[in-house]
Amino acid sequence: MIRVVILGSGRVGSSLAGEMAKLGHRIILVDQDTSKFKNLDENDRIERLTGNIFDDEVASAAFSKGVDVFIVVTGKDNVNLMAAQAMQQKYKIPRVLVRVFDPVLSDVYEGLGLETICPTKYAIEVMLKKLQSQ
Amino acid sequence: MYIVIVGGGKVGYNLAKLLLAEGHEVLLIEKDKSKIGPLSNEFGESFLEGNGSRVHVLREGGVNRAQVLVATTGEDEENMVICQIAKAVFKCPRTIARVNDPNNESLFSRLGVNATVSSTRLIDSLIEEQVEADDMVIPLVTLRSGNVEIIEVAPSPTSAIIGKKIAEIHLPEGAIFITILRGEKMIIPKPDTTFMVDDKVIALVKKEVEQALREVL
Repeated sequence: MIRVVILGSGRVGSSLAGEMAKLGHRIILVDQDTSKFKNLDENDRIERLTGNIFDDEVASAAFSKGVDVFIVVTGKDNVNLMAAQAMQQKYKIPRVLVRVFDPVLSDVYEGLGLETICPTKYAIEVMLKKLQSQ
Repeated sequence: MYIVIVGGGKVGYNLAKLLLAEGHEVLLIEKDKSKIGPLSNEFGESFLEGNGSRVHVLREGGVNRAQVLVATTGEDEENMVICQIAKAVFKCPRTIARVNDPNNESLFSRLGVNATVSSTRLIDSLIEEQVEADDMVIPLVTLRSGNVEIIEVAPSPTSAIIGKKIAEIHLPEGAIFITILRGEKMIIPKPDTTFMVDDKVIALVKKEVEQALREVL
């Protein structure tokens, strides 16, 4: 069992929370917008936390019990990058995964030591492969 | 000096005007479509349309040859990313970020932003003062109206003031402690506040007694 905090409960955030809960992990899913949680399956391994992660109270509720992985998947690159670095520094989180849509930005921060995931790059790779295999 | 300013709101706009008037080479970058027309008319060659948190926009803006980059948008996360790109990709020697939420100030400095401030005048004096982060005494602000500065002093671990109470320290005429920084905490100095190792002092001081204050600390 690993303890996971996910920031952003959009399509990726909520689906990932569901999948990881099925595998037996404990998830805290954080979003500012309560309506975002509606896509989420009921599961007692998933705790929902509403609020702004940059508020000390919210961050402390998410991280103070201990966390193994922090996954950052809000819709905004800049927010993701700041949240990832801020929380990693403050709570000494062992592993942080951050989504960055802009491929150039993703490379820059990979170079600065962040573990970034760029969906744009994956989409391009897959499309190229499909086109070539025809 | 070549200075790139990202964000053409009130702060960025006024800063750009001020620095141009002082004879600097300035580039103002703004992405908001509604602001582009007026800014472009007023600043001409000194204006660039684009999103400053994108690497290609900063490259087009010539940040690689800028001595200073100032990020003045209304979003802290944007200002942070802009300053980090300027440092990491373009090796810009000095980055200054406007911080909208005071809680983010310490984070910004840990992440390598050289200075954080919240108003046009302050940013201007930071650029003019050529603050060196490694200096013992950092003039944070020179108040323009008078001969007075706000400075930060880090007393050495062997300084005579360590272990003393404020009331026991004889300050030169024309100097006053504004606050004591202890780790992340800001302490309002009272007569019975005791100095500890690694404390830093923010002081308001007349220029002519700055040296005298330095000696006391």
